[in-house]
Amino acid sequence: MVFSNPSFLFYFLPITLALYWVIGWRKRNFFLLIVSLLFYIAGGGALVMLLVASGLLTYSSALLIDRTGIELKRKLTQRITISALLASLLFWKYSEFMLAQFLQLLSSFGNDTNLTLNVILPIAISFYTFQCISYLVDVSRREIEAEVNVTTFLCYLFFFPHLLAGPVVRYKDVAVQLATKPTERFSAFVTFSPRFFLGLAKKVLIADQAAHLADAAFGIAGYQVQASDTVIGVVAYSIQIYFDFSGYSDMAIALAGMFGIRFQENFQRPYSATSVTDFWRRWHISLSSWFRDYLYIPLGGNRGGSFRTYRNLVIVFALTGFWHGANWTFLTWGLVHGLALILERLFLKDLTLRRMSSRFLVRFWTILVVVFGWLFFRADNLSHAGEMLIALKGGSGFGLSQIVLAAITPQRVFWTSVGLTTFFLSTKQSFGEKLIDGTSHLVLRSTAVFAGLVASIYVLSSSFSPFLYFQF
Amino acid sequence: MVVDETFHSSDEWIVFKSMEVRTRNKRIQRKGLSRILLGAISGLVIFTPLCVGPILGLTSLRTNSGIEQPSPTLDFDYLGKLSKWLAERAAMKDLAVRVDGEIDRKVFRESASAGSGSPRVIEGRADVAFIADAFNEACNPHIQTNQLIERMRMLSSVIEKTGRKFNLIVSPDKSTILSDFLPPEFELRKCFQAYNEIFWNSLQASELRGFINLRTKLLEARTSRRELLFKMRDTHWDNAGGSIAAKALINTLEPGIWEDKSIKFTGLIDESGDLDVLTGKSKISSVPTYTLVRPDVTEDKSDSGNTNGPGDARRFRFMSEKSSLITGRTLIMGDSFSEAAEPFFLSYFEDVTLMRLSDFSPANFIEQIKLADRVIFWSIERSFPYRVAYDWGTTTFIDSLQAKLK
Repeated sequence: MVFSNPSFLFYFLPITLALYWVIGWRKRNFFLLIVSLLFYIAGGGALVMLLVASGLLTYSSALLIDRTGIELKRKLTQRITISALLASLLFWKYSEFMLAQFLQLLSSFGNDTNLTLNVILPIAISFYTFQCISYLVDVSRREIEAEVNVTTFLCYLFFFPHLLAGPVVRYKDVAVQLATKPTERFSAFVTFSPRFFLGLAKKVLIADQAAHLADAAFGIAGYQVQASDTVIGVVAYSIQIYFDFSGYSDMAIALAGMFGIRFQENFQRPYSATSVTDFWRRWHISLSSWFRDYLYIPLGGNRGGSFRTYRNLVIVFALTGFWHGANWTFLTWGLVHGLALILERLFLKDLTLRRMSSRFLVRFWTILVVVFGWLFFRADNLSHAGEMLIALKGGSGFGLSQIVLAAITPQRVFWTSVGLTTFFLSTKQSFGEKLIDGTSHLVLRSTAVFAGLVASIYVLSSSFSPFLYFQF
Repeated sequence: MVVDETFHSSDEWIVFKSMEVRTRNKRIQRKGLSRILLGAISGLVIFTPLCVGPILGLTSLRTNSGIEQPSPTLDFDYLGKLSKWLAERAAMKDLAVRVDGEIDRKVFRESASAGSGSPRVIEGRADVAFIADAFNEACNPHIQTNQLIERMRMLSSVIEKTGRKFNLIVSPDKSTILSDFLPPEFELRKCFQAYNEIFWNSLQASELRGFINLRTKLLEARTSRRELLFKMRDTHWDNAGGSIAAKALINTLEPGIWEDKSIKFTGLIDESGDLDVLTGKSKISSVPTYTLVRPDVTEDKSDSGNTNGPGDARRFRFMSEKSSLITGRTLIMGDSFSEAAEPFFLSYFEDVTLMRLSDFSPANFIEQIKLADRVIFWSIERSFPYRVAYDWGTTTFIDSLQAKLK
């Protein structure tokens, strides 16, 4: 069940809010835990048991780590638990991929075997695994004390606003809030609802419309794709992925706020970034900071010379890529960004950005890396990505394929153009953040609510798809 | 206390300052009021469908999704099923579909489509509507036509080598049969016309064993009967079209047993088509109905309708002392088009099992093929290349079938 689903928007959310408004605040965490588990079960079914098992393992390990003074025992407990969590993630998310690669290797030696594991990927496993790991490491580092109350801890881990698609929340950011009486509940709804609707509108109105253009371009068979198809495809996908993801984050932050929990911002106008390095301070901040704090810095960070720094960047971005999915395309995307960061350290470190021409060049470079990097992220496989890149040379022509032309409709052009404006915004505070910190103008708040209303109509009507069933 | 130079006395200054505070307070009040108003609107949006549901009832929009209201159980699947059912039947959905359609038409001046994900409706001449999906394949085929024919040859060869019979039926889309009702200009027209000719001519010229050319039959019938054969506001053929398809099938399998006189016209009924419902309109059009009358054929209900073997298969058995029936076990893997023609061909079979191509599962399909004497693949034109490219036309499936049928 996702936030843009009618059953969430018009049934789960209002019922949960209504009950939340009447229960006592002391029961809040328990109530949120129960509804979060129900939320997960609606989408993930019996795999909730895996979620609960991971949570309980993390909870008990953290208590053990916190209560023992023996450093070796602390480290051992931490490492064993993290290994177990990572092993679980590796199995559920990557075993099919690893088996496919192994069978391909065998096939190259003439040994054809048809074997699949049929492993069902539990939803949200990447997110909650990383949250568990961050919690354990923070407890080991004595940055926080292990939570004694199991309800409070599980409420943090399973809290439905961030459960399925982040942000990756650190326990230390919410610990105090979980233990504190929330502010006025109705007031919280009034404050955060415009942001929720902004997020919904970003997802449904902009991302889903841009998706049609991206799907059309990326759906063209490799030998037929033309240069403009590739350009349209990557630009449309850049808009789709940003508005989809940031829209979802807006909704998550708003939903959490409605229940008295404030999350950190997850996107800060990434397409306004002044370099690829700056991009990663603005894109999926919760994930990039997780990798920075729990992988990059423990590996040595940028202490230890250039070679080590570059090595660490490659490792971190390779894993960042793979975290997104079990496909070589994600790895390639990660490595493209890692390489870009290395190149910036080599050539842009001493560049002064006072001159307009320098700023323009660096900005152009950033957009080029980011936008065309998405090509690898979206392509079905590396050869598909390669075909789309080669098409830029114009071998199949520079025009637009019929299927892309047909996908260009007034409505999609309108919403995608609205999405394109994000490339031209300043690097100041995002609209979403303005909506909840009290500085937003009435025009922005009204626009967000009105756009959300339109998006709600689209959500309600788009679940009506007779042909998905009918024509097959 | 410091008094501003512009004021003549401290009293004036105090009055000014208190007015400033009052103005600021009013601004804050207005801001607070506007926030509350927007919050109220937000609340209305979220809470209204839930609250009006018990009053207005859940939507009655026809979806054909087959999602029934789940019975409460304590297993983990109940909530997921309930969520899907609620999404299907959410209150005020019909209003949302209509408003969505109006936004498409009035604001963006384009054909209506529910939400952003549904296929688009193309309005043709004389109120005949078409589905855009029928043209998408033409401009971006999932598989080249010659490859498609090659795969069908492989499939038929694998099945026929085991002594079983093989047939392939491709139901033409409405746009193929009623092409004279297409609008003069629309997206994809050029590639559709080019592709359509190549597709059907190639199939005809391939002389693929067991292929039943419904396009020719339907075009001939349109001329002779002067009927549309397809519903005006629906993607599907009407009873007349379905009966022609059934006739072509039976005449191919067993020439001579089809009886034209058993098809009876039963009048006109008013209904709204699936394309209308998609646009949020509630247009009613009259559709001619026919029925098959074969009083000497009776259904053997002792075991009929039960699933037999893996997959969600339906099995029917008929018997007759006077009329001839197609003997042996026949397996028909079809879709909503073959289902629309079912009333006209079912009772010509002694033993027939029906499956849906949309429920493709290699293991289930192979198991059912093993039980059959005759295998018929029946797909709608617009989905056919996709299914061949990714489902039962893949070399993986054909190789598995060959291995299992040995």
